[in-house]
Amino acid sequence: MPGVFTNKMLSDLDLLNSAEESLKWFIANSSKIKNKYPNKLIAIKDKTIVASSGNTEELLKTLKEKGIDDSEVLIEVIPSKDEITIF
Amino acid sequence: MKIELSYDPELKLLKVPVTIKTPHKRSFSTFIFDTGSPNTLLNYTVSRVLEIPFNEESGIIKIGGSKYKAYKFDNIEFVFKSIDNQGIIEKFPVKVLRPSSIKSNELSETDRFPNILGIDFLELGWKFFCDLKTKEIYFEKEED
Repeated sequence: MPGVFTNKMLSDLDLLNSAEESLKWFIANSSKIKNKYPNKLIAIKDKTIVASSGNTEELLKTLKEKGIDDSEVLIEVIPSKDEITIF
Repeated sequence: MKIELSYDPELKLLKVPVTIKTPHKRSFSTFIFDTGSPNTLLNYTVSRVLEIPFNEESGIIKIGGSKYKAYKFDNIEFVFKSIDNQGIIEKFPVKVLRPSSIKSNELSETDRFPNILGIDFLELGWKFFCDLKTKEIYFEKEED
């Protein structure tokens, strides 16, 4: 499809730029997202949350159902509202 | 060469975007830099996206009081972006966490772990600089 780049057409750097853009958007909206999606995995594409779920298998299934390539989204883990994460 | 990290003030985490390449697939993700972790860990979600096989057992990883089975994966490349917009490739083994069961309620524990960039990354010769006040946060390495 003209004008649409898939993962395979992009360079490693293009992919990184896409990841960086999604990460910056995520950080800028982190507070809102944390409140809206506590304890979830979220998938971000083009500054939009395209899927969310409580576990990996469901998230990947949702992406597949929506026709979204799972290697083209940024997946972030959102902790619970009052949770402090220490690894 | 320098790699910039982003500070997430809400979650209070340092993150770096990375393109990850395996022989099967390529994807991107973010890693949390954690000087408390000796190893770089790939979370279960990203390992599933990258279709990483769970072949080589690599002991037990203890996180927050819980124990998880770890697998080693060598055939992986990380591409970082330098501040002057160049790709920087590093190749080093990672440990992958795998849930002990495929029951959905047990999956959620390992699902919630992020990718972690550990001390093994600094062992590749990268120095780490961090000033949260000026938001100057980066890895630096002299070019070969």
